[in-house]
Amino acid sequence: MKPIALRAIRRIPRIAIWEITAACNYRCLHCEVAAGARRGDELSPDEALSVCDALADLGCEQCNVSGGEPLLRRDWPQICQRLAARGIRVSLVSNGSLVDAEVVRRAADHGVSGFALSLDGLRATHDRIRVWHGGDSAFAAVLAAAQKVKQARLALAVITHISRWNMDELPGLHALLRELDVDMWQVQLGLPLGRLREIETPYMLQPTQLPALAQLLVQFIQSGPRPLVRVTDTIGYYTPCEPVLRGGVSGVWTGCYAGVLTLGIESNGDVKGCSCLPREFVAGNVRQRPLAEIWADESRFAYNTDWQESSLTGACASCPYRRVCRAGCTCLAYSVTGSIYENPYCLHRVLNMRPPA
Amino acid sequence: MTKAMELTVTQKLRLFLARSGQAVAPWSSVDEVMDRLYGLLYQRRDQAGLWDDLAALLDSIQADTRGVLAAPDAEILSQSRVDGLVAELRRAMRASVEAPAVGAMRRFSVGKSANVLACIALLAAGFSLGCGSSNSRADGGSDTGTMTFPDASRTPDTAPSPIPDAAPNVVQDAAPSVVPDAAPSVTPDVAPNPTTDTARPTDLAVYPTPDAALADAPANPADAADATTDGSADSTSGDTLMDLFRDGTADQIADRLEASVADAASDRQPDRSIGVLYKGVTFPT
Repeated sequence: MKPIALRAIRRIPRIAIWEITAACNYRCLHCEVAAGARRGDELSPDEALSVCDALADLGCEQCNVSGGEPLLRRDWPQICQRLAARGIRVSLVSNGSLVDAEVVRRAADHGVSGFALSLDGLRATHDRIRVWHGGDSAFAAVLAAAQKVKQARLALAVITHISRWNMDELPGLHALLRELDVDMWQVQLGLPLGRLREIETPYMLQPTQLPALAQLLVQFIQSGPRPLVRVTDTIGYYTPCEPVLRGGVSGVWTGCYAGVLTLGIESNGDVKGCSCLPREFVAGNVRQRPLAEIWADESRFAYNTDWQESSLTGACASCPYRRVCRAGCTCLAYSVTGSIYENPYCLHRVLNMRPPA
Repeated sequence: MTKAMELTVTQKLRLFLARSGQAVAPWSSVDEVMDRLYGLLYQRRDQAGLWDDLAALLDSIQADTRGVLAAPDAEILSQSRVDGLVAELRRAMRASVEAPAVGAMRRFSVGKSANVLACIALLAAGFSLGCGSSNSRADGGSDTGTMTFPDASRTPDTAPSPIPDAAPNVVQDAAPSVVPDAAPSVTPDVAPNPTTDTARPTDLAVYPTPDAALADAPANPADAADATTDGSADSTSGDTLMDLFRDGTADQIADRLEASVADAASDRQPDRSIGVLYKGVTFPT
């Protein structure tokens, strides 16, 4: 039987995250897709435009054009333009290194509504995570890019992977983003995938640090409306601050919607319910099967469409929120434990399973 | 400085299966992973390479790597269950040269699914009938090469394969009666316990836990207007939700959320029923 939250929902890929290229001019230590070299089987320009149409036909409302570094793909303007022309809101997710005034102008001309720039700490930390050859500080490049985006009056978001390396810098980062007049700050935990697994220093935030993180985020949210703090799927769940973390009004975590309301596409045309999910979750490839057919095959998204409460283990199995929560972020649960049915990255679990003082 | 992250036992089992061409769907449960493992061992019991690979897997599982998992309690199998699994598989390896003792097989059967029980039974039968000598090993098909796990910290880069049902089918056609219906009730060291298996080492608190701060966190009215733009649970107002989370018990909150989600979902208005979507970058409008 389907989970409660999904029983009457019509599956529509409202939000698509499309990694149009795996090519990247950085080799970030924490890159979960280990981006760098361009794939030899990257979708051709014509194939990419077909994907744009297929997304629109499926009812997609928003597409985050990502990578790799999407600006390294020559036809990114044409892709964005086609998506926008089909009524899809388009955001570009970039490391900022290639964002200059001309790029921003082209983006605006081709229907891009906003940029999301990756920023993972203050100067030393951000530059420590980024690995690139030559040029100035990657941190400085992001700041310069942010200013260009603001000057063009496009929406500006910053995405931050929260880790042990930058936890103490979050207040400073928040102040900086406010100074830059960033519209939205998206915060998320890193997933132990790709190069992040290889970092030889403790990097990932530990579950016991989640309460302190939540406290910080609540402070940021309460300090004012800008930047709007967006807490992503990886952070939660079900503590008294949950309604604050998820929007201040009525947003509450109701489980993962990968393959139900979201879709991820890799640069070679592989389709997943969410771009974060590892390759085991690939549901098909647009070269071999039309996107609509892949999407229509619910069995390929069984981790949500046929989710089994009886398979939960550990604390998740006995948690009162288990039927709504479904073990939190599917990708985080799977990449940490090897099972989508248990997730140690849970505020409720941490606060209710603390060892005696 | 520590080593790069290690895989959990479940991840190692999945990787072993994937490299053996028997990948299980990522949404399969831990028990289904175990089922497939025993099915694989039975199916390929005549292949010497398989046992070499299994030895590498077991060595990897037994290595002391708990300090470098993604999280201290990332390991969802209890140590006792892991120990039981390893011990049983090592017995199975030894049994490839001598038939396993019936008592050991009975003991191992506690807590296993019907499929696993049957596979175990067939494994035992197989050792006696087909793969008990070095000659039969040599004749038993190609050696797929020994797997090495020390460098297996990357996630498998294996495309998902169709999920064969070979093991259960084989089981049903063969001698299930070898395994007694009623297994002995002792062997707590092997039987899985989905609830208490979480009693694993807890991480040291690096930061203080601000329970009070979390409990008292009020919503910021300034954020409220922006936050409704990409959907919210229609049947639960912000104030009510805050009150509920502040005053309700976990069971009360969960019941209320389930009812709310069910009501909202029944409206068939996904944009108003699912709370806020946080996939990707959703700019406020």
